[in-house]
Amino acid sequence: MSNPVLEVRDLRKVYPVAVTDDCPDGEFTALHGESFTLASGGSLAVVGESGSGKTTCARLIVGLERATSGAVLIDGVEQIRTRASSARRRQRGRQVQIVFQDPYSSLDPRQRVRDCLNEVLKLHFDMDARERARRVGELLDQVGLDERQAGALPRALSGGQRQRVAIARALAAEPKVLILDEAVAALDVSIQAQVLNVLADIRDATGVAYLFITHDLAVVQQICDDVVVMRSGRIVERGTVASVLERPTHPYTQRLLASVPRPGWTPRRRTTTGEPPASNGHPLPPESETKEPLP
Amino acid sequence: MSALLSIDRLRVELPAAKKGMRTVIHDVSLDVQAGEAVGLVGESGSGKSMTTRAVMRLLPEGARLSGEIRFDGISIPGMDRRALRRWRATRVGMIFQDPRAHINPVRTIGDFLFEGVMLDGRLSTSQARERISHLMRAVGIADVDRRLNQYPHELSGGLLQRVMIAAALTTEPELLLADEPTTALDVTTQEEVIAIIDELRRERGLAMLFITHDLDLAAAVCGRIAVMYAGSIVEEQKADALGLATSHPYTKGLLAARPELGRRERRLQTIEGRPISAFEVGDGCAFATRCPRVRDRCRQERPAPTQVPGGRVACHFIDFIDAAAGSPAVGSGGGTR
Amino acid sequence: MSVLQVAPKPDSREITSWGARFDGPTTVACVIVVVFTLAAVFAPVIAPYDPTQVDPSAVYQGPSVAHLLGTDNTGRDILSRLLHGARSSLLGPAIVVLIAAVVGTVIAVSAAWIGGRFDAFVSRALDVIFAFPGLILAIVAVAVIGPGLLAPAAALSISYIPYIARVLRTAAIRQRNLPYIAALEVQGFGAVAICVRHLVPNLLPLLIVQATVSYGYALLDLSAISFLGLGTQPPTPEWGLMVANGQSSIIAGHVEQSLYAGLTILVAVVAFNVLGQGLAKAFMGDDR
Repeated sequence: MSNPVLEVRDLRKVYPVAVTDDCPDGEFTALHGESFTLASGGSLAVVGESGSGKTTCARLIVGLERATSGAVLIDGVEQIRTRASSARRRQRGRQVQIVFQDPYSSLDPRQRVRDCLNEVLKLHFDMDARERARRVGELLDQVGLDERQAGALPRALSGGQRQRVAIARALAAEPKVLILDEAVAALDVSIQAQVLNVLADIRDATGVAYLFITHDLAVVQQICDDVVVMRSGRIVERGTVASVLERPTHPYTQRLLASVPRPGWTPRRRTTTGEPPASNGHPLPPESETKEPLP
Repeated sequence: MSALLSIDRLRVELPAAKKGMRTVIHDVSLDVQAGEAVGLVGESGSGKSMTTRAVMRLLPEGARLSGEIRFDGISIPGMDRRALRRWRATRVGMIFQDPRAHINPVRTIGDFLFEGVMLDGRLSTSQARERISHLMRAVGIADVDRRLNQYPHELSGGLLQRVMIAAALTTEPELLLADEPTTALDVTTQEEVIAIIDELRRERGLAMLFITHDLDLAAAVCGRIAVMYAGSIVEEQKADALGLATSHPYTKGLLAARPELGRRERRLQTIEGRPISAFEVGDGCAFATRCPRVRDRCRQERPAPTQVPGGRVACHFIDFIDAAAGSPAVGSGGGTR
Repeated sequence: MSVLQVAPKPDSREITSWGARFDGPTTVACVIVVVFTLAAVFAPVIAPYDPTQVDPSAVYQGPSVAHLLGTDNTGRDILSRLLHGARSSLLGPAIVVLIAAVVGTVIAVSAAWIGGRFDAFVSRALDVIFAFPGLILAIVAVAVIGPGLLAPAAALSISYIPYIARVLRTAAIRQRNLPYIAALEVQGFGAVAICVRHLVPNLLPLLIVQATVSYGYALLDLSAISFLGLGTQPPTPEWGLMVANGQSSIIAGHVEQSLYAGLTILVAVVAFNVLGQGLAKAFMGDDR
């Protein structure tokens, strides 16, 4: 494996919450000091369900939240956790970008697509207007949009088109790592396939590394090389996509795989009476049926 | 044989934002026999949810409906308010995508369930209590008494959806309408909830109309699947016949576009363009703008449903598609089944 | 933190965008507001008489071709006084709303952005101001600084800040939590740039609605202050002042001055209210 472009080291995040019976110490640990690396130009999936800590992980990496402890290294350089200067913020923006799940609220409703990309180019690069216009065209072309959409407001675009704009905006900074936080989950199946193909093409063309935050194992298989499986803030299994999806060792991974609807699939009740399904020596901790305290 | 639920040439128009009416459902005909589970599958804007809302008479104000919807031979659009209320309370149960939006947040789970049973008016309090705790256990809720005293916000989404299933079944309806009941849930929870719905439905011999965007999910619990696109049913098939040679190009496209475990492709097959809305459909086939096999005729003439082995398909070139079944443009989804 | 949050449909009730489509009453209100504004601007041109011109030979004249609305107790033309009165009557609330809108927006956006204890402090402070009657504040200001247009307007604007800031803060928090703001932060844009270029423009429709409705109430408050003799001083014409002025004439059976001035205030306040509500309706119908 080549040098990791992204390294997450003992990353831990604790949120203060209201003290309740379920949570007597008034703390909710979203992430329990986990580590993983993403190879340069690689594609790593972080798989898990709600409360697994996968989205917290993404927010910590891009600096939207500060970790309680642990470190995020990009290209071997530790990202500072304190309030950053504007130069440092921009520098981080050039290294790691993110695309969110909801295409409807990911774009400023009052900003035309062209202006949205232009604004990002102005921030990061010393280009004149002509160079920027050329680059905007290039970026839109890369995500499969054209001149007509460049002049449109988000409300004139479909969900799939908006998500393409969000991808183009993230790529405008030429980051080394692109985090895709459930970026195709809200899209219709036929549109999801288009966007997944676009993402595959972009990685081939630019060598950007993907951190793919998702719950969808079929999508993981389509677009990722490696995978970590998370549950309740802990990584329970990791490995290449081929090995984990074909020979899962942790019962939770097995359970996740078995839950994916596919041709010939029959849904089964597993925890009807509350006891965890016994399977090869790793009893699953019984899942709390009461809603988890949210940060 | 007369069906339990029979939708005949349903057409729905809604008032548009500015002026005039917008068609949201063109022409939907679908039967659900007693005890049968039918899946209604489509992408966003296909009209699948609007169809269930038309059945439940939950259409927005100003909606115009034509065609007929019959339940056990009785016309639903023709019911007066009393009959409608009685029908909704006793003969049909509904499960929604977002249980939290359909439950009063300031009343306990117990209050919510009791209200449903008492609406029926046929049971005494103790009988109602008995039935509720029986149903709660049936949907996999262990400590019934504690749960009944809790409020909706204290329950996880999966648990709340089980409560909604129990609520839908309290009055022993004959038909269950499930509108994307698991879309907001985690996959493992989805499996649980789907298994519960399926099991209880079979035990009770309930008919079900199951609305979803997930073909595989629908196929797992339904005997028959209707695929909707832009306000029309383009195909109605036995679940195990989906994606076979005689399938509609849209169905095949959907199956091929979905990444599938155990099958990694260099590129996913896609359906070009975006799903259009019903009001954007011209005179021709609704799928004409995206169909890889489109011909001039498709753009001019709306295809009528044609009988094929196992169901009906609305496509002009069904024979042609049949002959070309092995070709790469349409073959991938069908090939794996 | 659900894994599969289904894309929430953009809330159509959220007031975030332009594209006004007015219904009947709103159109009428809009026309009235425009006419009043034009009257204020062009008063010297269109007013038939000098509003301060006393004419002892023509006191208490009824409506006639010469004096469309008649004359008052000193023979001044009521129509001319109403037209000229529009200037200070409409300028006062504009000052109030302008100050309240600017300060309120800054407070609301910073509270939403910074959050935490600062936000809690700001919210409590706004509650305190909210509980303080604006008229009393204005009267205190007059007592300290002296009567006139500016002192009560400035004092009143303080009490209007919560009307703007509280509503805007809620909307700003909503916007703050939308992913497009997070995406801009991840790009490396600074907080001020994001707020000025993205957040505030998206609050603008809501701000305009709030400001319009507040304008109507401020007009009413300032008229009351003038009525009490604490605002604009005679002989400058002002509607509230005219109502007060005409009081003594009512006993003599000449209701015109108070009536017309009062009606003018009424029409203006109702028009601004209807316009504000119409704007709210128009903005919210247009969010896709």
